[in-house]
Amino acid sequence: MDDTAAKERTARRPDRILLTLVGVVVLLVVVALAVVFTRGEPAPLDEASPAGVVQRYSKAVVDGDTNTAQSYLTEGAKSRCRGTYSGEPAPARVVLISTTERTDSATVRVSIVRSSQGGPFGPSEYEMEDSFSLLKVNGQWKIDQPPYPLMACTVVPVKQ
Amino acid sequence: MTAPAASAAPAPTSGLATLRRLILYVLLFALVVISASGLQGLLERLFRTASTLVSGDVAGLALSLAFTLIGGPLALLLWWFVWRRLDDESERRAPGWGLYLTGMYTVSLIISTTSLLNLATSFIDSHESQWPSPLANGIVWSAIWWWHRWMWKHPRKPSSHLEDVRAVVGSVFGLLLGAGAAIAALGSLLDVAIRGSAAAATFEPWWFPVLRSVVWAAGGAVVWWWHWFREGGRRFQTGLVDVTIIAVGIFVAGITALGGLGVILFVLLRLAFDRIDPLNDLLEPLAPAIAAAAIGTLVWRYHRMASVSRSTRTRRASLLVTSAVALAAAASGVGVVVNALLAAAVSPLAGGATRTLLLGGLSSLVVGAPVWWLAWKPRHQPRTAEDIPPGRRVYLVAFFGVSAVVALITLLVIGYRLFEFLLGDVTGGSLLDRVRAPLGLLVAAGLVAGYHFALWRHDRKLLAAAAPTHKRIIERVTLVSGYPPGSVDPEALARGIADATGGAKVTTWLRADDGGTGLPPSAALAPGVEEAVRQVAAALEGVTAHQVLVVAGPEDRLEVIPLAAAGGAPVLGGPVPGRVLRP
Repeated sequence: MDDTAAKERTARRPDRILLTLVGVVVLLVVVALAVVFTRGEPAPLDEASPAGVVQRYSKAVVDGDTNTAQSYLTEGAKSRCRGTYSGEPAPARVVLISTTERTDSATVRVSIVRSSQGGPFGPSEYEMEDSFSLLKVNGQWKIDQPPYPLMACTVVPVKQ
Repeated sequence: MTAPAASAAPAPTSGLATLRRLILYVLLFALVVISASGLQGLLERLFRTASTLVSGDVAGLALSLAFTLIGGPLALLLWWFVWRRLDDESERRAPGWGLYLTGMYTVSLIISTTSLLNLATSFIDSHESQWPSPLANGIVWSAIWWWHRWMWKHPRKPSSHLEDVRAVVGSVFGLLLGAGAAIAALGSLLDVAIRGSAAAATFEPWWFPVLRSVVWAAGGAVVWWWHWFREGGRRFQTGLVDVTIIAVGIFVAGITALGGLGVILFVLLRLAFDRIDPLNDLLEPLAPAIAAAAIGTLVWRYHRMASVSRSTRTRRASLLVTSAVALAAAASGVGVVVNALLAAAVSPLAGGATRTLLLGGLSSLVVGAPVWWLAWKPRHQPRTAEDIPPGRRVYLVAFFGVSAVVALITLLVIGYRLFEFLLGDVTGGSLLDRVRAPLGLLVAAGLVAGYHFALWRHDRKLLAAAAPTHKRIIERVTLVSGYPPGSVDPEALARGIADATGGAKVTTWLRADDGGTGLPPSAALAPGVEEAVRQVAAALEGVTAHQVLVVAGPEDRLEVIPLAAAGGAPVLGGPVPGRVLRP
């Protein structure tokens, strides 16, 4: 009798584990759906700080607004500009890693996530790190050297 | 006892013969390729003469002439020499000839098929047709293919060695070519139907690429049909055919079908909840995905049915592989869902894309999980040791092992990022953003490993409960068989004893004295093999020694002697050789 009960218990154990695992997966999916779909726009940073300038510039680049992006560049950066980065996969997400602020210059390190639709099981993401070099021009932070995937400007023809 | 004849001593020249064949066939292979290349060059030149205005390529012509006029006669001479030797049966059975035939058959099949299909599709083009090169290649290599097939099937000198390899290689090549081209054809057709022909800005009518792919698909299908049905690839009951069915028909086709289904669902979900990109870009992957899902499912279904009609082992393996592919899809989906959840917890500087990521993970999970549920049947797991099929424990250990490796790698990445965060000037948000992908994989790998580890332990308990305690105590059995020849096969008896003792190592000796061989077979009242195994197993019941001597036969004689080490020295596996004939 005891033997049968023990066997029954052993047989039912994986069922309990299975139910727990299914529960965990369902919970993860529900929480992820709730969080992702209620998430608003990224919180804006202070425009007077280097990170705030990088944020506005990056947002304009991701949205494809080259004119706005260009307004955050120094004159030197505009003259060195070689057009807008159009490689694939396009940058989809920019996250701040660190800010180093000096008197007249600053370096903002960011992580750039580029995503493509390829891959057998869902989209693929590629993450890379790079940094912005900023200069203080007339009391305002301007970007002197953006990372190449976030390069955006209109090429001005050289005057003869 | 009639001692079996000692195996024929290898001829002293066998090593030399192998070396001779190796050199001969490598040389023949090279010469055939060289003369084919020369002939192809000359033929191409001939076809081009009508359209050539000025010809100045002396070097190319000289090379073709040299290849043809020197390589060709030498190849024919060598082949004549080889073909004459192939009258000898042993020569035809030598691995060298089988390998040469298979290698050249495969190469010529692939080159001739692709050249002829290239030729056919070169006419479906708005540019001027480039037919001379594929035509020359197609003629030369088709002839070589036909020549080698003639040698393979020759009525007087047939070569059956590696016959299944040739049939399988041909059918796999045809299947991959046909299925790949069919996906491309259906994909382009559906793309025009879904997005309109304006999406593809080209200078040719929209149906040109579709027709080209259809021609390739038809060519692949013919090659597959020829080798699978005409040459009898499906009738070979060899391990290679089983492995091919599982690897190509189930594994590759399963990944294609599930991947396609996942992308279809992903596009539909994006259309409903995430329309940030232009509609044209959103719909771009839909058509190839539908084509991949349709063709992948077709190929998978055919091989699934083919595996059912083969051995039980093949059927079970096909089910396990299907389950593995589906589980990989579902688990990676869970990983991406966790990844998206963590991405949403970080406030980025710009962009987001978490919704796209989440929908990608969800579609993978939603497609993989039901297929896994149907293939693995988690509610109908074995309840007794007898229900545990062979192969299942390998599957469990493999999944547990793979997820453990994934977990280790992701842990290392997470550890690296964590220490970077602790030691350097890095924001907390960026730490979470950079560990979200490995963390998602870690969670998925943890769930998979946990489930399979629990099942593995459960199976082990069932097996341990079913196995009597003494089974693993006996480690070595020395069997002395005295049954007359023809009554009880000593090898079968040894296997039976090994099974009955739970895998003890059995050393078999035959009695060489009159006790075993003096009686003529007809007078012996020996039991059958099953009966003998049953008797020995019953006699071994309760024996607790590590080593046991079993003296079985003639007639119903049976003696089981537990052995112990004498004077602390371990007892060796076999008895002291005395008047025994052979182990």
